[in-house]
Amino acid sequence: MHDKHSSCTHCGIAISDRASAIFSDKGEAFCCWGCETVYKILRKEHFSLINKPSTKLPEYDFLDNDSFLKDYLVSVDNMKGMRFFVEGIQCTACLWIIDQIPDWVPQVEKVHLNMSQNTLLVSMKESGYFGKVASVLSALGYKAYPIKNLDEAKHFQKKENHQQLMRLGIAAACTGTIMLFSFSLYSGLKGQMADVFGYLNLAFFIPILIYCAKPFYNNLWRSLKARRPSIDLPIVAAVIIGFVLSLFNLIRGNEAFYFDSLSVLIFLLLASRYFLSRTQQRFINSSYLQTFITSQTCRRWNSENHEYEQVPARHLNVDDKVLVEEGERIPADGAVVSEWVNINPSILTGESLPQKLFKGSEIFAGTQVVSDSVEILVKRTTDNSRIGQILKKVEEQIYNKTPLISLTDKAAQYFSIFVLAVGAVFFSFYITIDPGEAVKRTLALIILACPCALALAIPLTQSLSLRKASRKGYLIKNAESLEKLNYVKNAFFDKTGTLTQGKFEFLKWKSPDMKESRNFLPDMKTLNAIYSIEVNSQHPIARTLVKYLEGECVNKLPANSLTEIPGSGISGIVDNDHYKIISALPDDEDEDDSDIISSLTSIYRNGDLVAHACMGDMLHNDAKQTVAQLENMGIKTYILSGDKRIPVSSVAKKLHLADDQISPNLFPEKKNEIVKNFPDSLMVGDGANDSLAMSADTVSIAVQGSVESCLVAADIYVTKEGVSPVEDLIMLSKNTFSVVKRNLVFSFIYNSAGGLAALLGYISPLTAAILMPVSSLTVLFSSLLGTKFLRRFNK
Amino acid sequence: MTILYVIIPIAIFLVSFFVWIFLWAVRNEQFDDLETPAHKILIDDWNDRLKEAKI
Repeated sequence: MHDKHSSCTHCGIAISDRASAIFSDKGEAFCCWGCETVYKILRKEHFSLINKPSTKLPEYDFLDNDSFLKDYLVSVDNMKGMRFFVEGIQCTACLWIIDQIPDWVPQVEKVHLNMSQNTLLVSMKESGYFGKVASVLSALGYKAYPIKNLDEAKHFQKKENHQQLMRLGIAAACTGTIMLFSFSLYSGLKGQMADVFGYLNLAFFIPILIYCAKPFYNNLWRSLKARRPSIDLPIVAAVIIGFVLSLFNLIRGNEAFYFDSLSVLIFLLLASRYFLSRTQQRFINSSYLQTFITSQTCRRWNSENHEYEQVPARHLNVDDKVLVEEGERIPADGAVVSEWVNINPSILTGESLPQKLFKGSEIFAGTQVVSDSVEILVKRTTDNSRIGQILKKVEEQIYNKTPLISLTDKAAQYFSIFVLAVGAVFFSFYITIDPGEAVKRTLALIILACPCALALAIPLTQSLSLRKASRKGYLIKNAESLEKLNYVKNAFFDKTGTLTQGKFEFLKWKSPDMKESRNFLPDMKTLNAIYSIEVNSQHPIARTLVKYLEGECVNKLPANSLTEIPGSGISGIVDNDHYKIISALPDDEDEDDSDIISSLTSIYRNGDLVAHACMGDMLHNDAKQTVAQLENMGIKTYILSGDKRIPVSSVAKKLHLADDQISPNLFPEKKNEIVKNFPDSLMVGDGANDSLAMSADTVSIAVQGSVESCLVAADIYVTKEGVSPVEDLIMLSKNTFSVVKRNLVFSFIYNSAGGLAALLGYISPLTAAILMPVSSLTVLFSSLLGTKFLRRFNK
Repeated sequence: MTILYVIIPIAIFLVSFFVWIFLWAVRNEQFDDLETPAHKILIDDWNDRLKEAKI
């Protein structure tokens, strides 16, 4: 019904991505939450938002905790500030609405939104209101993550950015001047004046050689130390040899110098590298997010005051008693003290069914309390808890990740070895004929054969692709990950929360004969009866059903002679009718495409079956298509899940995956092992149990709504719902690398031709000055043209 | 050709001047965020609201 809306009702931007668009009840479409809110304000529908500030959400309480602030507070102009990474920033309306934050939270002095990085800096005179700011953001529809204050590291990174830009600027100025001066030489200037211009060229080349080209020396040194081939070797060789040769010629009064070609080369290389580094989303690196679990506060029982006090989770000790409210996460491993509790363990284990735990049973940190609050006795502190151990391993693995030797580096390595070998053969052969000419021609070969075009075009192609991806909401941490995606042969998906929505909820009713499931609805009398009986049950499945029925305007009637039936069921009498409600595992016969039924509840009235209630999880709409497309591309898809076999195989069945492509009942460590054993694998996940596998030597994608540890571990973070981004990203990577390969071929042809001409003695400084930029321009043109067809990607 | 003795110093001076301006701009964080200011210019009451806040 929304198909007529192809552009945002408020700002008019075309909606390219329907999944992230917002549709109102009246059928209007918006590109982002900012537009939706602004539109409502303009239509005066949303006055309450303007007048009264929204309430502070308890889930953001930890933001104002002293021990949390210690690591996250930044000082801005003598004020206290905090940086957030904000999801969902799209257009000017977002900027406008976020700029209104001081109106809702008067303590806020200033907000500064950086739209290119999606970061928000909030500053205020006194701390204590950051939780409120985050709550307002979430009320507006944005999700905000605090960014750790890394005073030194952050400062260093900023300085590094500035340095890069300054190098680029100085290289541009010097190159321009050198080219201007060289022009007179090429037009035939001779004599004393020619010498003056020669030395001026040298004078302007020295800052380039010493200051601007420094990153190349550093990179070369680093790659030599690590014994990894890199493109910097031929570049540095060409620059140094070219400089020495030109210097000799200048002193000897010979006009053959290459200052202009070399400076253009360095300038273009710096420029392409600067663009690439600007498009990489490095700010989501391992130091960016702390986990929720260690930074949240919890209520610890103080036996002296006989009340609960707020303490940070990491201050908990063994044998402390802690109260955890509904909806919160358990802060530490422990034992249940209360009579019972319903928990959702999916973050930790991937299991889709909520569990009921009784007094004394073990409860793990990170699991979420689904219904009613619980008291636990801490057995292991947050750091030593199961999730804490996993996170520690994740950090270790990220640190020890083997870097990819990129295609460019491989090509450069072979090419430079080839050129040096040809040079050596030529030199030893020609030295018997004319020693002076042999030296000259060999050096000209080395300078000209430098695959500069290669070093230039590939970063540019990659940065164009990264930019395309980030426009779509795919944040790629570095270009390496994009290249790795190109080689993927095996794709591993998590089930709960990745292929499915990750929520356990009521799905639909089914008639007693299990057929004609569509539009079947039990009558109001039955609904009332079910509600009246189930409301007395503590079972998680009953709770889910009750939650759904509460939204259906049911009435509570008196229910008598309630009996729990062992094996998850309850019976009772309402209005003189005897009802029996029994939950069971579903039979595997469901045909509906997206519903993953993990619990089938049968309702009997006076012994007759009247209806089935199906509860479970839902597949993402795009899951089936994505998996099919991946198979078409020759990528084998697997499901790795911590869940039981039945729900996993029912997902696999719907996605048409064979039995050997699923592995249920996996621990996080086991997932890691499986992924490690497959070469060229891709891990897609969302939970803490996936983060270990995601930090392995694979490329990994964290889907929308992932827990923080996943964002840290993953190479690519998707801010769009569903799994279709996986397909998009692989397509993008393949397209990018076909352009890269074409550039390699171009570059090879050019350099071979240039090298041959140099060996035959045809290369004068003028020819070099023309040949070098022309080859660079050709590949630049080729990459621009190549990424142009990537525009399809945006549609 | 003596004009070159005037033109070359002028060229060098101009280059240094522009490099100096560029370095100042970089240090002044003018290039740190290239996207947001482009949007900010579209918001009418940007400056009005600041004035209000000061009063």
